[in-house]
Amino acid sequence: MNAHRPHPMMPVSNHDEISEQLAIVDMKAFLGLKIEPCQRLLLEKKVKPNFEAKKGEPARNHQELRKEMEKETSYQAWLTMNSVAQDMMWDAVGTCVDRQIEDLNKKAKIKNPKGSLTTNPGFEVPNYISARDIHRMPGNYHGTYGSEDVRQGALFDRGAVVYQMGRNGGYMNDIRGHTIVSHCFSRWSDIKPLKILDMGCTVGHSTLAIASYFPQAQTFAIDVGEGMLRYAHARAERLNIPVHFSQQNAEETNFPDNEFDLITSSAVLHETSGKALPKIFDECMRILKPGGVMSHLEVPSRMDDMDTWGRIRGDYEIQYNYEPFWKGALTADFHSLAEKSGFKEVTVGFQDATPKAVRGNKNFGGPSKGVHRSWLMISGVK
Amino acid sequence: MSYASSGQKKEEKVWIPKGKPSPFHDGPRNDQLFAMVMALTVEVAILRDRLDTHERVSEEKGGFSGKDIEEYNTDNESLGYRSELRKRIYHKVFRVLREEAALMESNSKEEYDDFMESYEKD
Repeated sequence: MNAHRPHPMMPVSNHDEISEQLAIVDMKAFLGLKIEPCQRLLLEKKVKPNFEAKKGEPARNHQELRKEMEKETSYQAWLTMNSVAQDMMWDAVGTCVDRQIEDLNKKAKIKNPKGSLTTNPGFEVPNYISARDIHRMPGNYHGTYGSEDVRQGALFDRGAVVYQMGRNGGYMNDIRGHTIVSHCFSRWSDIKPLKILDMGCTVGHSTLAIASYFPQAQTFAIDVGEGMLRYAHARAERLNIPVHFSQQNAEETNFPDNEFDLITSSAVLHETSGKALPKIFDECMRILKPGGVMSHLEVPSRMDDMDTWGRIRGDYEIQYNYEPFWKGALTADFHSLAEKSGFKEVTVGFQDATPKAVRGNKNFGGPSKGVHRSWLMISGVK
Repeated sequence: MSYASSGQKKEEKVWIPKGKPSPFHDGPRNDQLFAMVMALTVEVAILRDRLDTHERVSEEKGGFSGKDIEEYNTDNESLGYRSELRKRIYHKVFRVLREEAALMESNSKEEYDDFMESYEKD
C-alpha cells in the first residue's frame, strides 16, 4: 500500500485513507472536466445573451458577467463544490497526518545533520501570507504547534500529491525544480553555481531537485513557517541532500551582499503582493554576486490571453481559494520590475515542464503549452 | 474495533481555513448540504474500495481476515478499476448539476425553456 513513499517523513496512509485521498482526486478531476464546462456553456449560451438583450450592449468587463453568473444555481453549486472538495482534501490529509503526528515529530529529530535548520522565534509572518489560509489549507504555510512540530510540512507534502493530482512529479512533487534548472541550462548551458538560494521553499520539493544538479554547491532555502521548515530539513536529511534552511522573509533576508550565484523560487511570487514583489527582486539583486543569476518560476497563465470564463475562473482563485495576489501576478510586468531592480539580460517566457534538465536544451521561449506542461520563467543576471 | 478505525483518534479537531465563507448568497444552508452530500459520496467511494479489496482478497486467498484487507497490495490495475467505479458514482450523484447544460447543448430551445420554467418554479 505504501510503496509510493519516497522518504520516511512522508505520512503513512492506511487502506481507507488512500481510498479517501484518491476519491477526492477523482472528484476534483470530475468537477474540472465535467461540471466546469457546464459553467462556460451557461455563461456563453444564457448569461451573456441575456445580459446583452437586457442592457442593449455587451458587458464592459468579466466582473459584470460574473455578478450575473452568481445568480445562477448551477454556478453557485460549482463554486461550493470546488471549495468543499478543497476542504475535504485538506481534511482527508489532515486526519492522516494528525493520526501519526507524534511519530512524525520524533522522526524529524536528526542526529548529525549534513545541512542545518535555523528558526526565528520573533519572526513576523508577512500579512499577505497570514491574512487568509492560502489554498484553503487550514494552518496555512506558517502554522506551528509546538517546538518540535512538523504538522504543516507533513500536511503540505502529502496534500501536494493529492492537490497536484500527480501532474508535478508524483510523490516527490519536483518537476518545477527540474524545470527551473532546465531554464538555467537553456539560457546558460555551462552554469555552475557554488552557492544557491531557494526562496519560499516550503518542504523543499523544488529545492532538492535544484540542489541535485549541483552537488559541489552549498544550497540554502528560506520560508516563513517554522513547522514547515522543520519538516523540510528532516525530509532533506532523510533524502541525503544537505540544505541550510532558515526562517526568513524574502523581502529582507539576513544574507550578506554579493553572496549567491543562483537564486530561485518556485510558484512563490503569486503568493506575495504588489508591494513585496519589487522588494524581493531588489533583495535578489543585493545578495547575488555580480554575474549571478535570478530565476523565478511562476504559473503559466496570463490574464491578457484569457477569455471571459478564464477570468471568472481566476476570480474563483482570488475569492474562494484564497489567492489574493492571483490577478496581480497574472498581470504583473515582471520584465520591467526585474530591470528596475537592476537586472540585465532579463527574459520572461515559457519553459517546457520537465522531470530532467539537460544542458543546452532549446525548450524555452515558445508559446505556453498549458498548465503543468509549461511554466513562466522570469530570469536575469546581476 | 475494525482495522479501518483502529488508528483514528477519538476526538478529531475540525480544522477550518481562515477566509471568506459561503459562495451561496442565500446563506450557508445550501453550502452545508452540498458539503454533506459530497462527504457522503466520498464515504461511499471508500466503502466501495474496501469491498473491492474484500472481493479480491477473498478470490485470491479463499478466506481472509481484517489484517489481510489492510495489507492488501493494491496494484495499478485495481487502482484504475476503482477510479472508474468512483467516476460512475460521481456521474450518478451529481448528474442533476449537468442537466441544464445538457439541455443547452441539445439545442432544443423549447425543451430548454420548458426545463428552465419548471426549474425556476421550484
